[in-house]
Amino acid sequence: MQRPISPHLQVYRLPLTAILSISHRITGTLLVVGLMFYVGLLTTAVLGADYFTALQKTVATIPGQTLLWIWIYALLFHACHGIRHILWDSIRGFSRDQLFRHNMIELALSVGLTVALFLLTHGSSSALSWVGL
Amino acid sequence: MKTVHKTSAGSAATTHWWRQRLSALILLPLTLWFILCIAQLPSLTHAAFLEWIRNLWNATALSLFLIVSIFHAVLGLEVVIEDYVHDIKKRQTTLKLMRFILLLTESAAILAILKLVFPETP
Repeated sequence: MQRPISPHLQVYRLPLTAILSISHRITGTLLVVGLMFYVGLLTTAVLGADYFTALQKTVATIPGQTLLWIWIYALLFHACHGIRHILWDSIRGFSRDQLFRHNMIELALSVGLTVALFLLTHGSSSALSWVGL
Repeated sequence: MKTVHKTSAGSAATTHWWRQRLSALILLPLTLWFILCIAQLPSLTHAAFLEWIRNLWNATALSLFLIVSIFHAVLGLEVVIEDYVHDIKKRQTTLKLMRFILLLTESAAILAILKLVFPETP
């Protein structure tokens, strides 16, 4: 039997809030793929330096670094939108003005954090010595 | 109240909700730390990586990040699969497959970290 199914995304004109909401799911799914790649890298580290370096070198290429920073942005976006969900769970932030304002804060914060972390990790290495790398 | 909670139809959903939010809160600080670590990947040598992971703080934080991330991922993917795989049989299979793959990933991660931290063990 063909029953109507939900969510019927195709029948709505998506406002920004809805686009961000679906992006939360898309980024969440993509993040899992990146996480699995990282676990793959851990496994090659056990197998030996040759295996590790082979995989690490693919990350060092320009496409590799681009994907790495897209992944980092996806993670920060997902985190920022997650904070939004916690706000929504406390029954706050639903008015039209708040939705608009929080959309902007969320986007600005995720982009800003990505840029800040990029600059921090590409500047003098002493700022990062505490993570031990 | 306890009996109401246990017998109410929303009990499983409530548990799911709490688990998702708690794991999310634990992940927030760990995420920033993890990003700082993986940002170094393009210039990371095998020797530097070994030295890094043999620091007990790093190994602990990384294990915690991976375990909680995968737990959070299973919860999130469950909702995505339940929403988009409409055929009940296919849905059950997809859910089982997803949980199996992520369990495998988690086992591989923990085993790898243990082997890297304690290299003498067989």
